[in-house]
Amino acid sequence: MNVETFTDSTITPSQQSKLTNLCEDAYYLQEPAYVNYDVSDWQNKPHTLLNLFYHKKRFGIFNLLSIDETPIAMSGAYIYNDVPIIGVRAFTHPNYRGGGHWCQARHIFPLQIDWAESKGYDKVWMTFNEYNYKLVNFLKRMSEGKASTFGGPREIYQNLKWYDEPKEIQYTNQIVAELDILSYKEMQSS
Amino acid sequence: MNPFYYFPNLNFNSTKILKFIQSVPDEFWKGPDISEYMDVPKTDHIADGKLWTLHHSDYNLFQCDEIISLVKDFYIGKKPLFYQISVKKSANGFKSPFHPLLQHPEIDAKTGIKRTWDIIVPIQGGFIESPLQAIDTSTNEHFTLVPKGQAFMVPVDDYWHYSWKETVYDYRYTVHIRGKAPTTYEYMKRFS
Repeated sequence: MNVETFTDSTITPSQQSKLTNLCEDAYYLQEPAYVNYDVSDWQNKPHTLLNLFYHKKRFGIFNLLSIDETPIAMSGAYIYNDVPIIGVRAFTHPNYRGGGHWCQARHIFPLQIDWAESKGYDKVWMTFNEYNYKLVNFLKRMSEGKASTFGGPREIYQNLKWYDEPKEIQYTNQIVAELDILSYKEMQSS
Repeated sequence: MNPFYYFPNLNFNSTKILKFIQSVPDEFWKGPDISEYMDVPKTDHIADGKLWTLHHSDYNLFQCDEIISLVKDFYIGKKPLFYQISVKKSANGFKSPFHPLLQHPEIDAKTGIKRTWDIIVPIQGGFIESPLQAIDTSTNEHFTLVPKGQAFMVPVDDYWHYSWKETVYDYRYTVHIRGKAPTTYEYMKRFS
């Protein structure tokens, strides 16, 4: 697996192609929020990932994971109200969900956490749409030590603190989990 | 735009598929009227007894392992990128007039379907002697398929019309893996 890091000003033609391809996969999969990955006329669709990336220049860092040059997972990170949010607009190809891949947590989040730390922050947020309650419940159970991390990166999931109430972020109510970077790093090195 | 886009890596055993297709009972093959406009009086069926279509939704084509193998790459996770698989059968000597391929604009309009692409798998026919013809009716450009023994994709937006005539075998058979919006002809090229 190969993870690439870029921004709207450093992205290469190859990375552009992979980003677009993965957006297309996400769009045609037609899961909730699939419209955010629409690549047609994205310049005039402010909700789309490509519009956020290129026009609004939302992301301080964006990561894309590939296998043999085939993109399989992506997400970005940015600073919102002086808090870094990681795993934004995350998408993982369904063939690489579960099964021990941990594409986001093992390969992408560590880079985004390092990026936040390099900016002087000591915590990051992960935010989830409310329709993602199944994923949230699964992660919460791992955070509370009630479920196995199945070999996954427990240094992330076991150090998450969940806020009781959703927070409004970018005009949308989001479930928020907070990761203390120091605790994460200590568990990572132990 | 040349409408024919080849899928050289789509491997298939036409003999096995043909054997399966020919075992399907007649009652599952639909006549040509399914592809005609409802408001056209059905008095003169030039294709009666000469053109048939078999839909996966009417008869489980996945009873044939070769057809399962044929479509296995056209999924994102468990979600198929196609919405239908069909088999087209036409008799020797019958020349299909140019018309949208396996389209039914009236039904599509009612169901909100916008068909966008077909991947056509040649199973049996004189594909070299009498290849598929296409017209882009928006520009009146004519095209002829250059057969390579490979599966190929065509756009099926309603302004693309197709015609063919079997001249070698008693019957021509083609398998059609069929897509509709939002998937696009351009997107499906990635799977070639």
